[in-house]
Amino acid sequence: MSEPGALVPRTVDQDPALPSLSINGTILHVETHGNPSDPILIMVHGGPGGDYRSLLNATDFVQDGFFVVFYDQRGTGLSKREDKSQYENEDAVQLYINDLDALVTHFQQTASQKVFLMGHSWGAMLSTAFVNQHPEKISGLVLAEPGGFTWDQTSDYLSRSNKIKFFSEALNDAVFPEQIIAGRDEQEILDYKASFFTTFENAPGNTIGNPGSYPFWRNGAVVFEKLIENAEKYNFDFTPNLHSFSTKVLFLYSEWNQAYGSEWAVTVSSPYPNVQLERVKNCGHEMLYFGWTDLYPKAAAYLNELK
Amino acid sequence: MKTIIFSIFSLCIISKTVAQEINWRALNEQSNHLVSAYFGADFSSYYGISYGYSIKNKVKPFFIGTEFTLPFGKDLIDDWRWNLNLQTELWHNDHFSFGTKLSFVARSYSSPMATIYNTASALSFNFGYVRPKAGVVIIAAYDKTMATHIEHKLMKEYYPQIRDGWYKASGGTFKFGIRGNWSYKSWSTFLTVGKAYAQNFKDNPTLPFFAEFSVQKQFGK
Repeated sequence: MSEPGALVPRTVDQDPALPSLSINGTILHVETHGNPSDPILIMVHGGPGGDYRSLLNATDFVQDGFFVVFYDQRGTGLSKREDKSQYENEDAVQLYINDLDALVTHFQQTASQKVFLMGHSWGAMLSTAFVNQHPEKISGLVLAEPGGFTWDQTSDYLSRSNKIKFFSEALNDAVFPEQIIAGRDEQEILDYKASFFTTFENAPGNTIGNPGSYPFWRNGAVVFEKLIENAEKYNFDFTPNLHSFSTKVLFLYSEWNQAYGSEWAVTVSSPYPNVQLERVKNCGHEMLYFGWTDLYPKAAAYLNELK
Repeated sequence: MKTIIFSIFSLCIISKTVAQEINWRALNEQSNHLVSAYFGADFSSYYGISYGYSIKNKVKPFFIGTEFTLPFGKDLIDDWRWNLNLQTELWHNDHFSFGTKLSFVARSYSSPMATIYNTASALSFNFGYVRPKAGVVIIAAYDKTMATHIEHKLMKEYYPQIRDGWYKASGGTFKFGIRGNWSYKSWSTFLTVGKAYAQNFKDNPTLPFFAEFSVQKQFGK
């Protein structure tokens, strides 16, 4: 059951054919599109524990003259699995900020080459954590429904977005397999089990407004569990230095996510001094997949303005 | 004999700790049949019915029984659990009782992601203070999966190389709980609460607590 490739795809350390980059002590699944000397747009996926497969619409930005970089974060997607101890220390999120910093350094050919970040959900939180530490390195930022920029905000959002309906088919679909596949330590099996929760998140009538499932490669179950535990234990605040980032930020929220909405978007984005709020129509939280038709022109206009 | 019993226990390693439970002191000599209806939460919320038949003998009272459990949810029978079980009271005195239950378990699960069939065996023990009208016992149980067949659906779309087919033992769970019961004439009610753990005590269930309320009727030949 835990044999590589049996239930979840092989990762970059198991399949040499996958595009990868050894960076900051790990091996990341990385792919790029476009001219490497163009302004760089790094796509930062959600989770924690997700992957960039549902963000691949963003290759459209190549036609706008961007060099688009996709990467699966440390330990998740098709990136190499790491031991859970990496995510247990207080500075676990710093590891992810450092990975992103190493990517910026790797791809930026000259100091004048502009770097943009587009983050979705947890990816928008991580992008903000990066800007909070390195505001001078980023020329523009697109944020799509970050849960919050502090742990209090995020846990508040999660309590609304992941509301459990105790007698629902969705909950049953997510947890019933736990009595069948139980008590196994192998990360491959934990990753496989985690995939059953996508049916809960995207079940009919879900709070976050997704019309169905969206493609993914591998859920990083250990990354998800440990980073949530880490946040509960140590908390986080990605906002103290955001006031120094005077560049306009494009902040997106979706029309159908009942747990988000304009009010929460105003609250979460408030630490940034210069924000352009936009509602993405006809989609829920997974707007970079389901809402691309409306999202793309908004994001392209913003990025082209700052390019 | 001990070897045989040990071998059986080794072969049959619970999906359901509760459901068809017995207050041995409340049993009527004339009663051969037990029928129960129950609902509760055990991994997910569920309801079900069970039946037990008394095998009379001169050595020990035995009940052979079966339970059929359906989780709540809009799809009525896409998921279910069924078990065939054997229960006996290993020891008792005037007030205390020590019993066991051995089960063969079959489970079916279906969601947009996959269809899974699973077999398991389960063993539980209970010990406590039991009187004809009421009792309270503590429960310890272990459920060990034996074989699992997985047929992927949406996951196959996302990862065509994913392997469908049979997988060997995929895990096990421990359960520890307490059960109270109250009996009146031929009727009994049981309330069970407890906590479930994965066999490695790390990868524990998302909903770690279980609870069940059941109503049981005994009747004669």
